[in-house]
Amino acid sequence: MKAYSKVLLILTGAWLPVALIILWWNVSADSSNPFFPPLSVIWQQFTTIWFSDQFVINAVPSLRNLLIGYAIAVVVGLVLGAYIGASRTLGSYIEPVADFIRSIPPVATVPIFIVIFGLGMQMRIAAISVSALFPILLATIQAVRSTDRVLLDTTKTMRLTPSQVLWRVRMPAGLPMIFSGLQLGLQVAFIVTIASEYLGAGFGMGAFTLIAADSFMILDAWTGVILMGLLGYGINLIFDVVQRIMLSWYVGQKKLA
Amino acid sequence: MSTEISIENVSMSFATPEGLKDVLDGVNYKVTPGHFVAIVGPSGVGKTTLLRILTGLTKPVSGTIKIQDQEISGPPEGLAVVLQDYTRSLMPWLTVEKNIALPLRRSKLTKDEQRRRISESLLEVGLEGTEKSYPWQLSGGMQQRVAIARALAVRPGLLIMDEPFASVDAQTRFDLEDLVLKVRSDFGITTLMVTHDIDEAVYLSDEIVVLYGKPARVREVVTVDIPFPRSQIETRNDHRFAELRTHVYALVRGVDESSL
Amino acid sequence: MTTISTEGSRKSVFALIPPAVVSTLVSLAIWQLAATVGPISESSIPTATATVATLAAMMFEGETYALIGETFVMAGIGFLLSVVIAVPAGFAIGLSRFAYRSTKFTFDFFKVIPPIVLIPITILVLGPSMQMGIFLIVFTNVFALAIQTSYGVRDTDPVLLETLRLYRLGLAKQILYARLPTALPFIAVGLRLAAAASLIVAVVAGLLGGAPGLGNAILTSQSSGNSERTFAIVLLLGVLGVAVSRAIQWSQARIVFWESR
Repeated sequence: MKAYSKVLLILTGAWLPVALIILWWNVSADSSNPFFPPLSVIWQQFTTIWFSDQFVINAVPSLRNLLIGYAIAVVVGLVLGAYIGASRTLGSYIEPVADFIRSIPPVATVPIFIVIFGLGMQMRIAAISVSALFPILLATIQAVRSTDRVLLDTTKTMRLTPSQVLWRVRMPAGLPMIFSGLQLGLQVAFIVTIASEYLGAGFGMGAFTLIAADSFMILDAWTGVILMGLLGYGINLIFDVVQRIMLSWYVGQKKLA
Repeated sequence: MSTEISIENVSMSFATPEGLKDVLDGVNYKVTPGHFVAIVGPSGVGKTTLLRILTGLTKPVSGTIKIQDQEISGPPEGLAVVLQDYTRSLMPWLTVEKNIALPLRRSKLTKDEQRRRISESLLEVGLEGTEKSYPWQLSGGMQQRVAIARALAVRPGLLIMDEPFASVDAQTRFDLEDLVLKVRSDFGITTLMVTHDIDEAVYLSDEIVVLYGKPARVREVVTVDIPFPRSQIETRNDHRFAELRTHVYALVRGVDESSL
Repeated sequence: MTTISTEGSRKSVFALIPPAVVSTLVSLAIWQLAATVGPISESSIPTATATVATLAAMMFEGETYALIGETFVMAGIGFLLSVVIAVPAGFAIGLSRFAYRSTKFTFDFFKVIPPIVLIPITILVLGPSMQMGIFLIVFTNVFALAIQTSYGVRDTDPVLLETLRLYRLGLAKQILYARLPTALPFIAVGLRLAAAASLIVAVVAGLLGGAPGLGNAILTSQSSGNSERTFAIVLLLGVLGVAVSRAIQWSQARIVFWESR
């Protein structure tokens, strides 16, 4: 009985995506529209391009920049955010400015980085790390600042050093909020990675796709779009799994409440 | 308005991961029209399950509920409910007036008649003038009164109450119990109330149905022969009150009365 | 709020000025410094003073307001279109367990895809136009908004629904009096996010896709070497972003009045 209902659940969730793909496949099969080639042909081109060393040439640089930029943003954001969050005065000074900068669409800041750093890899890493920094920073500040009063009072009796209070109590307690900042930062990092490639020169998935589109290599452009879409989804999925592992205590606690 | 209700041989089981769980087995009871009946029993015995079957929300595995000799198949006409959690059964985005008016919209009353009905109900429960307030602006006891007023406004044939006073403080509880007595004497609606509070059951009812057993059935129907009108101080000091209370308590706890 | 200490020692004059003002001035000073001395000054980074002056001058140019208008019109149309499509769809999905389960994976998938990924194809099909921008905005919003709406509908208190059912109130009344008010706070949050996203995507569509508006203006300024103007427009975007989010917060509190009890 249980296995049956589990299978049914999976079927209910899966039929629509499968049906949509089949629909796209069939509707586009005889397509003469240059912008919407048959899905079968797109898929063939996809495997030809991306299952080859093209992946190393174009996909790997993007992922590399993304990872480096995001890592910088995470480290700086968490550390700075922790200390700023713990200090009410520091926070009152820094937060308004950070909030303002956060209100600027991240993609719109890429030209700024181009002006300062030119068009190379330096610009990309700078743009990615700075853009991803702000959501992480602000979330961490908020998380540390809003540590439960009762929890803080309890730790006061334990005679911990301020550093221990910050890193062993406040940061772990604020992990759920920090993680939502980390997720937002990751999404921003991904977007800015692609944006920096659209606008800059060199290699990368975004660069490949845009150049293909500009040269009317529509098939290649579609493969690029699909690859970026799948990667975007995949990266988010990985993050979700990591988050679920690290926040398992939180989910359990919420379930009881 | 009073209605004849009978519970005929009702049995109920639930499918659980551990297998089929029999909750009720052959519950039989006939409600006298106009009576106030309390349903008591140990925790988890199935009182709320029985209530859900009575109101047509759950279909029993076997047996029927008959109202005016008609078998019900879903929530019957002329039913009003007062539940324990008033914050979840009143709508916070509607005023008191609009909350009470909602079930009335089905009736054939004109707008004016509806308005009058609402004020009458609010007057009956001691909340005159609160029409334009929102439920969350009122205290817990007052919110429960609103729920009672809403029940009265539809002039129900059957009033069902599920632990209605479990979420208010003791003092408010006594006030609400007396309100229920007043409603009983003013309107005479057939009422079934599930409660954990045995004192309350004896204080308010004409008859007490004691559910007991795994699966549960009607262990005994205790007739509360204390005359109306009743009062908190005198009735609760009454000799007969104590006797009945002890008796019901023993039944619910499954112990021998003489040991108490 | 800054308070002046009433104890013996005198607080510095900085205590009288709100922190936001202090940090803004300090940030501008750092910027000015970085633009005049040090490694970054070697690039074409404009000074803070030059940028602010350019921005001030721009506020007197009609073209600036035309650009702002184009961006906001594109964002507005995209937003409204998204709402009209997503909210009713999300409502219907919330009412049906089958619909919810069927659409969950698909919507979750598309919700996560940033619209930037679609730009190369969208430019080809729709050209660098307002339609392209509107399409991107709708794509961005529609899935998240529908999901949000369906959450709200599903969050309706079962006790409330049962109470209404017991009072013999039909499905229509249950939707109108219980499901809709419960969904409103969720929808309000979704609308707020969609409004912010609409503005952002409108700018992105301009910057990367050539759609009209401020986004495109940034690109043309930067590629023509006018770095003061580039920076000025970005600053302007920040100001507009803050203003819009304040306005959204204000209106959200109005709709869902019973939440702030």
